[in-house]
Amino acid sequence: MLFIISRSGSNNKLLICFSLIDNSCFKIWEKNLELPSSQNISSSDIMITDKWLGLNLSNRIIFLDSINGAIINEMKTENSIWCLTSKENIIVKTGGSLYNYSLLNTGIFRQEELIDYFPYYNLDECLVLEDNYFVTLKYSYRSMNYIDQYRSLLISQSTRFQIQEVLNWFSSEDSDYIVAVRLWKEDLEDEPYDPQNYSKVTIFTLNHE
Amino acid sequence: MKKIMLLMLLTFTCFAGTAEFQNEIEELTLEKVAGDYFYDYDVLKTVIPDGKGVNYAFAKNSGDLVLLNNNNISYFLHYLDIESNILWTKDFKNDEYKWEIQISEDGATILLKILNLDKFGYFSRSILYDRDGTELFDIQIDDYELILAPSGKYLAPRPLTGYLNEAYLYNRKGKIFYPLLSRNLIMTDIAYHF
Repeated sequence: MLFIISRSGSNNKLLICFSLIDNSCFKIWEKNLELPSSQNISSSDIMITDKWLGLNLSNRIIFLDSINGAIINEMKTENSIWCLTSKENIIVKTGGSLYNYSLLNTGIFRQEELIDYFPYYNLDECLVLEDNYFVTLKYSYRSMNYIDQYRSLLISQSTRFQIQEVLNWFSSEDSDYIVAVRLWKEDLEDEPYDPQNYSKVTIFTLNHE
Repeated sequence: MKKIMLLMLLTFTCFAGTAEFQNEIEELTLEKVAGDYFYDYDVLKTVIPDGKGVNYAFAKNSGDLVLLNNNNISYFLHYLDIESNILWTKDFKNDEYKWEIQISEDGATILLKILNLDKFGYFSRSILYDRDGTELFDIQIDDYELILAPSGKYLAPRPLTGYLNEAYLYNRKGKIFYPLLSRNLIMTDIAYHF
């Protein structure tokens, strides 16, 4: 399926669902999101699974049936950034707080508050491995140029840690492999180029013995 | 007066200390994370590809990884399999504006995208590769960029200038049909699920 966010002449925001089969494109449904003209949405505000399509509208997140576009659930939020984990949990960052929501079929409930600091940071990436949450936060600001600053966190059951390197994580479906990717180390602008400080991929394999 | 000043300073220091304490968070190294949290896992390999990381993308199903790195001279596109073997690397001259990378869920299709601006406006260059690193196409498009579907079968346009009222769809061989939109609609963005 292909979802197109569109605007009609009267400034209404439309979400149009197309099916793509054998190089042909068919419109399946269209929904008027009834947003004010000042509010824009983009693909980063859409989250799609096999069961539903979620739309982050800043002050609320709505869930639509991807087959027919009907609203199946809605939750109130406030200036939220979100992220879907591999286990169909949603991590939502609202202001300084990070919450984990679990999805139960079409129902949603707030499970726990994960952190309540780094208020200026947005959620960039997240991965849940067993009971551990690996979260990357991003803060963009303008000094001479635009600057992105990152924080890489490990949130386990009762403790919260900041990992000294900024890492992005991947886990294979069967969890046999975990990959940590570092793009660069921060605060090295004035230092001589040393490849050891930049791109690094570390791969962990499950010990089956 | 001095006593009052000293008391105020002490009070401020206490409050500042409390605030700092609330924001303090213990730091861990990757080695410590591995030892304490991945106790069922062994480190298979650590790879240091050329360049500073700019962007990366994982193939969700195969676990293949594409890394887009750069240094002062070149951009590097590295393709790594799930065991972090570097299958191939391509390098490009470093004089373009913005570089992005996407990979399909099965790892079979890779889209390297270069966005640029000239006196006529924004344009994008899209280079499509297969898993072996063979180039499938290399096209330059005005006003929109291509977004790779998770399946790797299609590439759809996303406007570079806020909206589009014409839009082409592509497959691995090139442009396939037009238009996606009727004439009274303006596309502002797209999302995939196939």
